[in-house]
Amino acid sequence: MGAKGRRTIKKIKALRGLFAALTLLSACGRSDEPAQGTGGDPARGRIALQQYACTTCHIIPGIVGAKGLAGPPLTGWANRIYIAGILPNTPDDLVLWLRDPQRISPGTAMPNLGVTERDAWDMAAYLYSLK
Amino acid sequence: MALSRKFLIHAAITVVLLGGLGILGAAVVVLGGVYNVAAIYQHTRPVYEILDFALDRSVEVRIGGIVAPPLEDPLLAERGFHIYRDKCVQCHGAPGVPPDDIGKGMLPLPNNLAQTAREKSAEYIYWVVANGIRMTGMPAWQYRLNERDLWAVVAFVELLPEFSPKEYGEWERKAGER
Repeated sequence: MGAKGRRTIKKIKALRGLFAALTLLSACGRSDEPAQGTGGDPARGRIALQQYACTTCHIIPGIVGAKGLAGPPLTGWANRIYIAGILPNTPDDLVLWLRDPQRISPGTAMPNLGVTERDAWDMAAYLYSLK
Repeated sequence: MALSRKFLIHAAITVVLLGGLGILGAAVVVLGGVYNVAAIYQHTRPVYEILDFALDRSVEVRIGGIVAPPLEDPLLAERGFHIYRDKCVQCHGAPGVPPDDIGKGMLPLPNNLAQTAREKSAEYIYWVVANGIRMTGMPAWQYRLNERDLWAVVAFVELLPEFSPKEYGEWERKAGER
């Protein structure tokens, strides 16, 4: 991951911290809200999910021909609790997973597909639109 | 009598008009370049589903005369693995191994062959390897591989669903040492 990527994640973490503080202050935060607002472009992400061959192994709603059964279906992604049964399903963890699944879960059948940081954020934006 | 004749004439005129309209419509779509052929845009859902079904039927009706030889020979599968590693993995990937950029950039995307092995017969896979599939990027291999090698590839593909990514990596290492 580049320095820019780390900075982005730091920024997001800082923003999330701020958000958490604000919700605590206002005492009306809901912890069960699905992850949202990745800042990526879902329309671009939809194409990227095809261009990185995700559709070969995953059923992805809204993408024609995405019928793969090698991996789990990505239906209702926004409400998924864990990524690969390992990471909590948050946008920054999803981006980490998409970019380097073998580091998170060595030996997983999901290969490293060379996903760039921008494309990972765009894919995340599309996936979190799946309710 | 007169009524039915009148009906037939009207029907004929309707058919001619509709046919003409259809040809005109097709001409507008083709000459206007309406349909996007870019590989980043998938077919519309109806076009995709019809093509996908037609592809499957086209292969199914052509594999009647093919009889698979015994494929359990481990040496045959190993031979198939070497061919797979040289000529197939670039587009199809393997357990834990991504396809190369060429494979990822294609549309239709090359199948995950572990899934294909689950869903299709050895004869079906043989036919596709030997003949290729026009306009999909799948080449015909029968002018590059002999009969025995074609079946060796099939024997290996049939084994794919049983591979863990770790085992596939071990086969790769073993092949690299020689």
